[in-house]
Amino acid sequence: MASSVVAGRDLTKRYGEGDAAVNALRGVSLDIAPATFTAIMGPSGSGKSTLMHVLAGLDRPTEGSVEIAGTEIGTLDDGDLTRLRRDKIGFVFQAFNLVPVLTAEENIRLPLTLAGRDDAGGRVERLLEAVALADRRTHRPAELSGGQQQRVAVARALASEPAVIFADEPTGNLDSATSAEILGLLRRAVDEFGQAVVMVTHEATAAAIADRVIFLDDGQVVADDSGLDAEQILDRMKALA
Amino acid sequence: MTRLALRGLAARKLRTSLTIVAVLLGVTMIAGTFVLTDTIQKAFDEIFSASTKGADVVVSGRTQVETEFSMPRPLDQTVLDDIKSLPEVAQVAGQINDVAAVVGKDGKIVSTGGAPTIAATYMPKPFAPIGFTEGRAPRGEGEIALDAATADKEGFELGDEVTVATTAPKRPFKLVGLATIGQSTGLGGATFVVFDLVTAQALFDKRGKVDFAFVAARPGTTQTALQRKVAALLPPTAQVRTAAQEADKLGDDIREGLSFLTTGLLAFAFIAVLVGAFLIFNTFSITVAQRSRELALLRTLGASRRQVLNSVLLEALTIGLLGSILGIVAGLGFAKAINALFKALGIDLPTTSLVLESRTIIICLLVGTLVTLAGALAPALRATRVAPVEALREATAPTRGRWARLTPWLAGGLILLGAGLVIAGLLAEGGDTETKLLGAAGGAVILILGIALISPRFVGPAARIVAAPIERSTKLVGRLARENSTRHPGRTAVTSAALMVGLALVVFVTVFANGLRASIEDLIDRTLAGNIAVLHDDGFSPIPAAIGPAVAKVDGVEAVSAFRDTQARIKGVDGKFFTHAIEPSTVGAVYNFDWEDGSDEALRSLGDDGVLLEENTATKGKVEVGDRVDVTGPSGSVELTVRGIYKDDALLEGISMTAAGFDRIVDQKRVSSVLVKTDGGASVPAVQKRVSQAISGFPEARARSQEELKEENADQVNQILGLFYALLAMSVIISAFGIVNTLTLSIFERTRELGLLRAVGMTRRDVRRMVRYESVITALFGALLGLLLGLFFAFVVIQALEGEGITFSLPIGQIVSLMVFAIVVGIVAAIFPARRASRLDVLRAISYE
Repeated sequence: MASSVVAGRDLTKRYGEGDAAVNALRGVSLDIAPATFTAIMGPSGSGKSTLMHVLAGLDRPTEGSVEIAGTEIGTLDDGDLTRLRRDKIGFVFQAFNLVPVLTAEENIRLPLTLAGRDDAGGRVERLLEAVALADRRTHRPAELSGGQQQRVAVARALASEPAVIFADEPTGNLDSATSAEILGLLRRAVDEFGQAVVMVTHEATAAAIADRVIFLDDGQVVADDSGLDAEQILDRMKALA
Repeated sequence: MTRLALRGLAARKLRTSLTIVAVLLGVTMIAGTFVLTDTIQKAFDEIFSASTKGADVVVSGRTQVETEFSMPRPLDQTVLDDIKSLPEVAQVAGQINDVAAVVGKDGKIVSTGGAPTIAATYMPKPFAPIGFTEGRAPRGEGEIALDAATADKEGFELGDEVTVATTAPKRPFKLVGLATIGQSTGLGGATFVVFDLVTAQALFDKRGKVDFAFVAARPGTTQTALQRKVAALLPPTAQVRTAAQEADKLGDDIREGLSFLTTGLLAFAFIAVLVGAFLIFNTFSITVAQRSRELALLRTLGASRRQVLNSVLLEALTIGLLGSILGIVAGLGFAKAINALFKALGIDLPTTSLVLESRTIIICLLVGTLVTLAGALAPALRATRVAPVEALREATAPTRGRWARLTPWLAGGLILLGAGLVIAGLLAEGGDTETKLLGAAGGAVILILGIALISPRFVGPAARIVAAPIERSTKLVGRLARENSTRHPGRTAVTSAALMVGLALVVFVTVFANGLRASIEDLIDRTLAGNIAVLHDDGFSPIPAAIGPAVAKVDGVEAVSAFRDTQARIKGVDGKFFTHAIEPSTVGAVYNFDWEDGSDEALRSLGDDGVLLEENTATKGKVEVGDRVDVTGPSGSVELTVRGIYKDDALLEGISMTAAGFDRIVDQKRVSSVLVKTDGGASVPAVQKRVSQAISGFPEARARSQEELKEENADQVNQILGLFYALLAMSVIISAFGIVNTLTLSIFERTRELGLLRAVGMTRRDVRRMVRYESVITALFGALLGLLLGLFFAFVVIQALEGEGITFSLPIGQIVSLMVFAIVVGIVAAIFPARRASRLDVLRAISYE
């Protein structure tokens, strides 16, 4: 499907065997369109993190297929998958996002360096400006605040002009003001840089910034809506709990 | 808390086993050393106690100075009749003991790997030192028996003709018996030829003489009573010992030699243990740091500092005990390995079933356990300083020790003290050599500790230097490797320091051997005026005296001079000196005397009452030309006048005199070397060929050109160097384990970071490379430290030996090889940790729950 950057088909993920088997995903299909902000929500154990890992090529589904930027990833070996992650996917995790021995700028440049690519267009410079860290470029992560670290992480995710950015609870460790800042950055990534962003979160206020919210429960998609506000999202979540 | 400590060990299996290996390898060397030397000792004791079997007392020539290579003067055979006439004596028999070379089926002398080539005579019952597995005792001049092991090795069977060279040239004998000495069929590589008494007396030029008289008492006479009776009959030049005393006496010589071997091997074991201690210290430091939250939690729950301390020390105790026990077991195998190594180098030592003395077990357990406890003590104390509140913190910042500020001062002090002790121990004048050497060794250890203490400060800059080429070629991966290696400078430094110890000694022995080789070449060039040397095939055993005259007749030979060696004392001077019989009329043609006081004129005027002293001996004895010295050899004394003093501390070290004086102090007919000067016009290779022909009756002797002599000596130095390398290998292996351990623990610590790198696109290959480079950086840092330290040791030691003509030079090629070797060590050590890092489960590494 050419119009989507990520496509999951009939994804199931089973852990364990026989009676002890746990189905983390039971037949999930979804498409992520370019330049959209998608939030994946659900209670603990709903399978939202597993879904993200499978969609991002970090984990292999038990059944079903995933296509990222037109590449079916089921048949890729570890090396190809790694290169795909490097070139087509950006990641923002909840914590431990940065390599402690590298400076802010080097962390942002990391995907390019790993790929041996030149930063021809001065993208890293623009990203440093965009996340307002130009004056902190030579600082190491330990010398940055939690919010600054996450801004570096977002900039890093954008550095390789990926097809999609996956953000796993990116505001989980932050206070509300800093959270808003990071969410704003992700929003700008969609609006200004035309990125697709997929964010896993359990916070309704965070999900409200997304264009589309997918609700997961017990490994299945139970709702898939666009244009919800925080209140509506909270109601949905309460209904699921 | 006990159970917790043991559970902890079980839970961290990998770390525990790597630490155990560190203890194990050091203990293995200690246990192996003791097992090997005890086994050799037992083998010799068995042989020696068998060698007097059936005798109650043994009579031999009296020795006044014990030497390694001179036999006592033979006894007159008439002494046997005198003894026989005693009413207490049941039986008496004479024995000849000498040297005989066996020629193998290939026409070459049977190599004994440095072991003796013994000739002995058969004695009738009740004396039974020699038995036969097959055949019978030799009778008459045409028969011999051969030790069963040699016959087996060379494929000789009863009835075969076997060629044997004695004092007389080689000739065939008929093999009539396969002999045993006591229970053993062989003597650790030695060859053992048995003749009948009369034949041996003729062959060895001892007609009417015997080397030993074995005496058996009549029933009812005790050994000591017999000893008293026999002693009363003997001339002052003879002595009598009980069978047990005789065996002990023989055993003592071996014990002395073996104690050198024990000390030498233990020194290498000690180095390995020291390296192991570094590893133990590092492992415990890292795990205590990694467990600080767990320890803090225990403290929150009410564990006292003492309990925390005890739990860490209990872990160390368990590891130490386990490592020691396994090390003792492995030591049995190591003993065999060293023996094989010696054998490969041509040093064949007799062995019997392995001997594990309780002393070995106790020392190994003590050393293994105490070293582990000592290594773990500092980390354990640090563990007690973990504050309960750290349990609640997200991440623990490394807490700097209270004494951190003092570290540079302490390290500087240790380095100065250690270096001072090394220099003082090696360069100071006077004092006891043993004490000085021990001081120097202690200084070396203190120096190493000082360097280990200060080296964390240099990890950063040093890593920048050694990693520069890696970083240039690999960009990010190299950069990360370097950053990782400097993240905990203390860890990297201690890991490197462990490698430094082994490599410093490698550098030291290499540089020293280079100097030694060069000095031997130089010495041969300077002192040998002749151009052909005839020596024993093994390079050091004496050869029959008949070789000299045989060589003199060769066409194209201008001059021949033979040398005989023994050891002697000078009255009023400590120690034994090598003593040589020279031939004054010819020696000047083949040997250049480097006169300190005197001239070649001294040679002409030497006379039978004169003596020449080497400078060091003269200095030690405070003697000058014109003084009289009283020289005592194994079998007698002589008073001589000093006619000259010369410099040479290798070929003619000690004392030189004429045959007349020499024959009064020792019964040594065999010559150590025959030096030849060819005619100016003759082709040296052609003369060498003719000399070889002329001495073909003496297969144990071989003629070498000067060049061959140099090569042979260089080969010997290289062999010893190889032995040292092999013994140092253990230390290097332990330090490689140290790198493995540190990397593995660090990778464990960086799980999340590695997961992140993998998630954002680092390939497995790059992860492996990153770990490998970190390992290489650590190894190169160790090599760099080792290089500097080793060069320092070599420089000081060579200064100390200035008089020996050894010079210091920078072996550029070997330094490069060392660096390459360090890189290989780094790469090999990284194999396992790198694979572990690359196989890391990305999902596990980045999940939070």
